[in-house]
Amino acid sequence: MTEGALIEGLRSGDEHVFETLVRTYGGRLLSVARRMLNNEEDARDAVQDAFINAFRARATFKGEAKISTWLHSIVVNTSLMKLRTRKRKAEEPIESYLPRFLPDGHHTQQYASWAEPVDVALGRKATAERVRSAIETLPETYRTVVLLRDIEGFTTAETAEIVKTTPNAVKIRLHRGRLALRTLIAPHLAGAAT
Amino acid sequence: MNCREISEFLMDYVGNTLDQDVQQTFQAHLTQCTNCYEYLSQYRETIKAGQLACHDDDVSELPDDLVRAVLAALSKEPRT
Repeated sequence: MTEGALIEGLRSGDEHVFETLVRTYGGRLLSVARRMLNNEEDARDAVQDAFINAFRARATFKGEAKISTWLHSIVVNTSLMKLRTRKRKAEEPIESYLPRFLPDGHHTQQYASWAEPVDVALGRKATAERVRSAIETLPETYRTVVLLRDIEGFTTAETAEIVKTTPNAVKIRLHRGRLALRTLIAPHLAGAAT
Repeated sequence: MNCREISEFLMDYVGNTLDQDVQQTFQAHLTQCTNCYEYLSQYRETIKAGQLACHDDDVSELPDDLVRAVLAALSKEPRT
């Protein structure tokens, strides 16, 4: 089915078109929700809610973006709604993952090149899994912004709107999240292949 | 500019959003400090590693039971 036919069917509420959308894009949306929520049951709920929200909002879809982009935004927002309703746990401070400096401003640690380029290292399933685990380890405030900016491809302004903060706060969280992620993945990339 | 300050400008440097004079000072530090040069390289590689680890090219289909649950939920939605 063409994108045009899908859009037409979507707007008119055609249930066969919706089934096609669920089967075509559902798997990808579940991957996004899993990353955002770190919980299989919540991720499944988020995907279901996302499709319901998409159905309810179908009249507002103008076809300016691709359907896949539109659904992607909806599942991200639905996942974040779910995150906000979770009981807030005290978030682990990120400081322990940030680089440290001597009073004169030099790094306290020496850094050497990683053993191999990341596209080679990440070709191994075990290393990719360790990097995904490291992302999951990031404190939620930072993980969400790293996911939205670096993985899901939203701009700083879009991310700020989604997480309801300022673009400057997004930039600070993204930078600190990346610094922390570097610390977390370095042990798996510094040495020999595993 | 010292290593601590370099660390604060990494994101803007990678994103190519530094003012020209700051960028020149940043690059001058990198030519003299192998530690910051390596750290910058790892910062870039970290972004790439996250993207590679989470790429959805081999994403699996939605499980059948979830497809059925979604379609059942949608069938209850009013059509008007």
